[in-house]
Amino acid sequence: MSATRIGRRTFLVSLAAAGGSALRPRAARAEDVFTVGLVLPADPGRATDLQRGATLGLDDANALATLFGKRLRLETAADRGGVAAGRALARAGALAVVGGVGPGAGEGLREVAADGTVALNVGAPDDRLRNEGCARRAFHVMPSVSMYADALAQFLIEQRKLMRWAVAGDGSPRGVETESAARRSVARRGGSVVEPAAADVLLLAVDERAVEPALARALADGRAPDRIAGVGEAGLRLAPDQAAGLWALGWHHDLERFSARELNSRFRRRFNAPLGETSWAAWAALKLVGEAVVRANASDGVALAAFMESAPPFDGHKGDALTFRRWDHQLRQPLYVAGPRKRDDASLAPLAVLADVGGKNLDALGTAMADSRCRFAP
Amino acid sequence: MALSVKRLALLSLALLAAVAARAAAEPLVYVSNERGNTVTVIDGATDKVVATIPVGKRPRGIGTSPDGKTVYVALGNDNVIAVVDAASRTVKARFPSGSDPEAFAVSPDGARIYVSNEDANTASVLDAKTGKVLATVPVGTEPEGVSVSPDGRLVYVTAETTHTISVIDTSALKTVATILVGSRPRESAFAPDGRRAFVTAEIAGVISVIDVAKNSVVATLKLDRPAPKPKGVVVHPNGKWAYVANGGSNDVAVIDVEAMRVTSFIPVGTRPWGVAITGDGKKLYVANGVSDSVSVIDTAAQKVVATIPVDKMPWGIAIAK
Repeated sequence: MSATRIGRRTFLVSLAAAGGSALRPRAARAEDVFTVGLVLPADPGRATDLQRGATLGLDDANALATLFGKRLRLETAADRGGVAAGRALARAGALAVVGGVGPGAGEGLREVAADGTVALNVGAPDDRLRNEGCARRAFHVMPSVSMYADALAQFLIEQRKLMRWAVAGDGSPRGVETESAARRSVARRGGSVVEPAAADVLLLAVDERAVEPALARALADGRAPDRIAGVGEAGLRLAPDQAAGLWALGWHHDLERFSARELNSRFRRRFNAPLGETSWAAWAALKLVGEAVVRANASDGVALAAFMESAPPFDGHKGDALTFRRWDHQLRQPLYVAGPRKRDDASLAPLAVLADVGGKNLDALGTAMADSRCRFAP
Repeated sequence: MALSVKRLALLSLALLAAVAARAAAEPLVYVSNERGNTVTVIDGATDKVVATIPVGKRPRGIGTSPDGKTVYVALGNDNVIAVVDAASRTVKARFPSGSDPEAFAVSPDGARIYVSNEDANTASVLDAKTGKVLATVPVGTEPEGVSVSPDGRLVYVTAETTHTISVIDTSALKTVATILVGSRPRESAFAPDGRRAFVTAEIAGVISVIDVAKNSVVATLKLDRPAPKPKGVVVHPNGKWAYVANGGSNDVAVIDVEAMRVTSFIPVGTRPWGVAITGDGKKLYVANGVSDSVSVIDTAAQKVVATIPVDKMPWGIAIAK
């Protein structure tokens, strides 16, 4: 991504570079310009993923908004832990804050939402944020751990009849959530959790930073690469010679159906990089805000949240109308399972999309209303 | 012997004349087959396949010249519009169209072809005889469906990512209005009097009805089906009915234009996409993408009267009228 291009096209203000001092109430602008805040994680690679997705989303949002005399702009802030960056963006007048990428970022974003600013979570899959930790102004574009687990179970149990699962957990909060969600998903589909020696599949229920060693251990133990499963795109970030396993994902750069090819192609042309899950979620978040501004004339948090809650049929290039669940504000969406390619083609990424999951009943992925522990404050 | 030859010649001429007369009276139906890389030709009188024409890679959008002598086919993987001679049933030219052409429309006078360029966010205006690009008009993001008003003055181009219709003035060759419609608009069709247009919105599952003079949506018709995914749309020549192919619910919605409401759904094959109606309005042809077939609907009876096997993954349909 060209820094010059970003500056010209999106008026990005990098608080990371400015040490935060650039974040102050901006001068009055025309009423038809709306600011969206973006909290960038410390990890440069993740930050790039997030920023690229948001930039393409901004382009797409403005392709629509400018036709109707409106414009979105993006302001970024470097995550300094906790809620500071998000709050600073909100104080600076952001209509919405996008973030949740990186350790603890989801909790920080939740606090921004609790303050009253619409927060779009594009990085934290934690089930807790959709249950006891939910907030009325928080909307989750990123799939949840439960959705991932259900996607894996649909694919492995319902399609491949791999009924016996073992869990390799690390005791981390993410690992505990993943194991808990997987046990529910497996039991619901008639499968069982057994000792590793007797298992058809080994689930890696670990923090995303522990994926690489956990996967290496499973392979060293003789587990076949397509009999190890995990959630999220951490597995896809591994080096090609380490790539293995089956991964439940919200997006993959190989997708073609439902105009996914066009979106992947536009991202690749813009950044010369593949469109991954985090970038997709950031793209979707910006586009959602743009549609709210145009379709509902949303100009404040109340109107923006009301638009999101009205379940507008969002087109995420997944072939279905994506809508937020009213009971936990999770975006309903099909997911995908990626795994080792059957063909040996070095020119292609080692992990390909093996299945798309959930399209027939999007509420089969994730926490059902009856099971939700989310209680929005009035 | 000489007499016999003369008689034979006369008989041949009479036969040719009869064939020509029939050809003029009965429409030929052309179906693009996306995975077959062919165009199927169906005799509209018998509803039998009379020819299958190899055209090139990934044929989707299809249209005919007003005189029916030429069939145009968008070849997505060849990046051209193939020009098929209807008489010889061979490809006689290939017009460069830009990347991955999907949809286009032929002007009522047959002089121009309007093509959406999905990657470039533009519509190209081609000379239908030479293929020369006469103009390139910026439109919304990810343009797809193209239709021309009956008087040829306006072109509608749907844009799937911006959810808009770009209204192009064909004299000025520029976009003169943008209309916001339902999520992911695929195709549009004008009523014969040009006062109304109907736009399918695939993700929203609705039909946006547009007042053409005012450039505004006057009604949004919900298709009461789970995930109907409407795509193809056509209006009956009498202007009273519109028909929408619902790729998700495997049926065709019938819309009462005057009342602006959906009155019924006619079950067809799996994944109906393209739809076309005969000049007399008696028959509707629907391309069933996954069934590899075309459903023929009797519009008066509102039921399927024939199902015709075609090549792999039929996408678009055009009728030489």
